[in-house]
Amino acid sequence: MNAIEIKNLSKSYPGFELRDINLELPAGSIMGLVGENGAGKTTTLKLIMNAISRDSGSVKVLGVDNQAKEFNAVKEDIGVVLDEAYFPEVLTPKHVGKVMKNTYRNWDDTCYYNFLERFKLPETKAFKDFSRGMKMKLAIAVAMSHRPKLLILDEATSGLDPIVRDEILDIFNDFTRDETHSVLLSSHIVSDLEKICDYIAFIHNGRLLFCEEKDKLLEEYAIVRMSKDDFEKLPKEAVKGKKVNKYGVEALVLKSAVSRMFNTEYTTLEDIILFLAKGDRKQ
Amino acid sequence: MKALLLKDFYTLIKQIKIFIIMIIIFAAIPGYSIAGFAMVYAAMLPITALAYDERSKWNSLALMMPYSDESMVGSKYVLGYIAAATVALFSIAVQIVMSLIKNTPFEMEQVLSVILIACIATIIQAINLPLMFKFGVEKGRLAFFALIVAVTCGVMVLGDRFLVSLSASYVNVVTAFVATVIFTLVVNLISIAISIKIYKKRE
Amino acid sequence: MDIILSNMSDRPIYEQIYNQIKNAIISGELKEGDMLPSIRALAKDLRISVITTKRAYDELERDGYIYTVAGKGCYVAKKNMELIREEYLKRIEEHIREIQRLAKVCDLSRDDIFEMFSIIQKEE
Repeated sequence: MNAIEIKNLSKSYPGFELRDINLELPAGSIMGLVGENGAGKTTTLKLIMNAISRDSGSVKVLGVDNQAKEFNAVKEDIGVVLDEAYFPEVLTPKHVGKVMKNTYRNWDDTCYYNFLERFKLPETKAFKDFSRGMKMKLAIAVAMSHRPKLLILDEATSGLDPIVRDEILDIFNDFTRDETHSVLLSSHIVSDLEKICDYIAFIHNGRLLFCEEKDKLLEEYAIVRMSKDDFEKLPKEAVKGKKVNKYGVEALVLKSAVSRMFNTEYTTLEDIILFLAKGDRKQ
Repeated sequence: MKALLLKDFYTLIKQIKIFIIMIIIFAAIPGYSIAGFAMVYAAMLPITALAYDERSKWNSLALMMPYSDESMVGSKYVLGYIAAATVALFSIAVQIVMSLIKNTPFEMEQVLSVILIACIATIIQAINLPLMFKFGVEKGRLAFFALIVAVTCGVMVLGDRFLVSLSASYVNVVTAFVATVIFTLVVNLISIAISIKIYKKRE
Repeated sequence: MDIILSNMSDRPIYEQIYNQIKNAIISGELKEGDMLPSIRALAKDLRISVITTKRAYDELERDGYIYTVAGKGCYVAKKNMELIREEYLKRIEEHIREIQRLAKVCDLSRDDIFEMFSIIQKEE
């Protein structure tokens, strides 16, 4: 079963349009949603949860149409972390725990307090005195403590130091040891997504440019540095993006279409995304 | 809804503490205008709660949680009702105690006027909350204060005449009183329905 | 069983896993009937995609090194002597090519190589 199924999703605002998004998140996988600020990531997540209403298309979460009456019950199984939307700031983690206990049927107090301890969050300190990192950690603790089947996370690692980010990615990774658990994680920190994602979906200017298996992307693409003359020798279909400067050309190519004589560099997911996003670029 | 009420309760703890001190002081003093003050404070609690919600963008998060639209709207109303009822009950209780201590006869009039003030406060809330849901907390707050001013002026102008007719006939009082309570209920039910409609239509 | 993966390698990750498990089976480190970690557990422990471990396991099964019991897991298949022999022959071939390449660099003739071979054989 697919945890999330999106077909022909569109939504337009004055000045911005999200068009024809088609996306499937298979159960048991982790999908990273990547794109620059304003590309449409948060809008997509809100449309998935029906927090804003779509103009056209269909969205099914955990098998249920998100505009159906039954969807409210499905929210019990979805853990959400948003960027910059939280509990009223005067609440303490203890208060939040009590509120959530009465919100979710499957709330697990033991799990919640374990997270608080693990993240070293003070139980009786008001939220407004928390650092950004602590706010995130609390949100994650809440999202994980009601036995969710699906996690939807909007920039859940931004503002955290590398050690904490790694720890949190580990938590998400462990979450999917169970094949009925899935994660949709939006982030602009591509290196984090590279660590744990099975799929990468790239949103750019309101369109979904691709949704691919992460390992396939890393297998298929490579960066080649060469002179302008050598660049001319490359078959045009092989080049998916390039950077030209005074001293030469850096190009993103399809490994299979390029002969062995060209030296392919070690390429990260971030490189691939940057090149695909910027297309042609002159420096 | 219990979760949302809990959340608002925790959010407003400081205000509630002041609130309790206030009703203890004011309830001990006979006279409806001062109890009215406590009622206004009670009516302000849902507004303060909404203001905190807006500040932390709680609504964005709540939309992702299994709260029904009815709960999201209803909890603010219920908050106001609980506050108003608390003031009323406490006022009446203290007045009963006072009359026992002072050995003065207990005046039904005072109970009625307390309940009347509670009705007025709830009506103000009923007018104000749909405005808040539609136009946001800032504008809603302005509307609230405008309403308070209007009602206060109205009471001052009409109040004396009202008291005179109150003491005229017992039967009239009861009818007028029951009519007011029913009117309050109807206005509130309509208000809740409107608010829910507004909330469902939000973006 | 140790599995060491390299991001910098020329070979895709699934191939690296495939090779390392295959070698462990051939060398006898993994014995017939041994149960392999589940696709999912392996992926999570190595911090790689489940899709990739599945691909590696699928290829190992296709090539006869492992088999799956529905609902239970993946097990090391009976050592297929043919396959193993083939594998070893391939390796010897690689080594010979390497010897040839090095010999060329040192300017050694075929006879020189054979002589070295005989000496070493006598030592064992």
